[in-house]
This record gives sequence, C-alpha cells and structure tokens, in this order.
Amino acid sequence: MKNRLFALVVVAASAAAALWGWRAWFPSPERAIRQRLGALARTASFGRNEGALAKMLNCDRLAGFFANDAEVKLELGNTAGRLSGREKIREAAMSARSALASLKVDFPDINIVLGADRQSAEVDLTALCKVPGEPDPQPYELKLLLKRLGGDWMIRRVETVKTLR
Amino acid sequence: MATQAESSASLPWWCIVLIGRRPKRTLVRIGVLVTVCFVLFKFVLAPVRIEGPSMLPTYRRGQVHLINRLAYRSHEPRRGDVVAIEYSGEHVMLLKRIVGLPGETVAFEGGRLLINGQAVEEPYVRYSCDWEMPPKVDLPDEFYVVGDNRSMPQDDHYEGRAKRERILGKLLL
Repeated sequence: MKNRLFALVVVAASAAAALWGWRAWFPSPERAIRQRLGALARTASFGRNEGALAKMLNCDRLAGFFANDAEVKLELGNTAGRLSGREKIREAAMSARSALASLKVDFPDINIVLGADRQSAEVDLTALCKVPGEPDPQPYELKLLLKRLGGDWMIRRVETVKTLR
Repeated sequence: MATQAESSASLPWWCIVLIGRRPKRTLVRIGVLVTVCFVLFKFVLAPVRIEGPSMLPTYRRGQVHLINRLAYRSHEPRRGDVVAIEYSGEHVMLLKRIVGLPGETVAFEGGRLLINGQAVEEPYVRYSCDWEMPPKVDLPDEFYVVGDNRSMPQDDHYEGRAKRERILGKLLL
C-alpha cells in the first residue's frame, strides 16, 4: 500500500514537472506576449545611474522589440507625435533617456486578443509611467498590434487610446 | 464537555493563541472568512487608493475607498455620482464625478457647468474655477465625467466622455 502511494506521488510529481517544463519551454502565445511585454517594460525603464554605453545598448534593445516597419502614434497629455520605423524609435528612446533623469514603466492590465491565424495579436494595456518630480505615476491606455516574426512577437503598431473622449 | 476541556488543556499555549481551543472550528471559521472575502472583493466591492489631485477637496491622495460594482445593476449612473472608470483593466482606474448624462450637452462658461444650456449647482466644487469649454454632446452610451478640483488648469485635468461599459461602479465609502 505504501509502495503504491509512493509511486502515485512520484507519478503526480513527474506529471506536474513535465507540465511546468512544457509550459516554460513552449509557452502559449498569450504567455509569450505577456513575457515579451514584461521585458519591454523593464527595458523601457531606466535609473539615474545609467551610463552612456548602457543607455545606447538599452535603446538598441528597446528598438529590437519593434518590427522594422513599426509605427508609433502617441498622444501623451498635450503632446502628440508619430514615429515610423525602428531607427526613429531608437532615436526617440535615446532622446527620452537624455531628457529624463529616470523612468519607471509598468503594464498592470494587459488584454490580449489573438488573431485567427495565431500569428498576430491585438493588445490593450495600461502603461504606468513614473518620472522623477511627479508624485504619482501617469497612466496611459495603449493599443498595440503584434506580429509573430522569426519566432518572436514584434510590435508593429502602437497608438494611444482615449479613455475619455 | 469534560473531553473538550481535557483536549484544550492538552494543547500548548502557543497553539491556543494561534488556532484557539477548538482547531476544527477555527479552520471552518477561517474557510468561511476567506470565501466571504473572496466573493465580496471579487464580485461586489473593489478597494481603490486615491492618487492625484483631481478630486480635491472631496477625496484626497492616499485615501482608501470602496467601489460598489453592483450599484448600476438596477439603474443607470446618475448625475453627481462619483464613479470608477476603467482604463484597460481594474488595477488602474479614474475616479470622477458624473455631470452629464447620455444625450445631454455639456459646457463650461466662466467656470460654471452648463447642462443643455442651463447652469447647474455643484456644491462639491469648493475651489474657484475659470474653465471655458464649448458645448459637447454626449452620445447615447456616454457620460460626461469630471473631477471636483476645477482650480487646476483645464489642460492638466483629465475630463471628458466615458463610455458606459468603462464605468465599473459607484464610490461607496
């Protein structure tokens, strides 16, 4: 009886480990997109002590989340801007990193709608941006279009959503 | 009775402090409490912490309040209600007051709120206001929402028309 129970526990533990391994190695598209957006938020954030080389490398990494033909259309407060292409995004990231002492980006609410082909996805999220000098983080609602290119989920379009019209 | 007294007497003091004299009953109580809290905070109430100055002086930064998710099951939102408006989810929300109902025209003239051209009394607005806004018409499923702090520059104050589906509930406390 004890042997059977032990065998049962071993089988259950092995099944759980296999399931965990499968999910870690082969994540579902939703999970992969969430991981990708988490990495994007971490890369977009920077501290006061970021050196010049790290700044450049992180801007390159940030641009790497976007497709070559990506388009970013943002209306943040009273300023609006449009960027086309990965290089423009990299330049904008560089100038933002030079203008701000630090930035903390977080995406607390991510809603993902996968396309029928499961190779594209529309994502609605809230971006919380905390800059020094401001007591509270500033929320922005964004709509992203992602496409699976070369095994990675790349951002093809970003635009702000007007929560209040 | 004697058995219970004996069994509780046999428990070490720290066990009595942690789980009481009747562990089974304590477990049941904990289970009920957890279930009630889960149901209450998942389906009925949403706790919110205020950030930002837009609802001053009625609600201040750092205060914690509860949103009643069921407030609008029997009736639609009303003018004067303070509501939580969702961004893309429930982690970050806007807290605003409804001033314009669907189909109404909202305007600001010399800081006074005009609904369908008529000035509206707003006892909750305590600070002076000089806002100007040409008339805006709410669509059938839209409510015009604005904060109580009208002393802020209008450009810095996030206000406008919110779709009904974005209104999570009414501020309860």
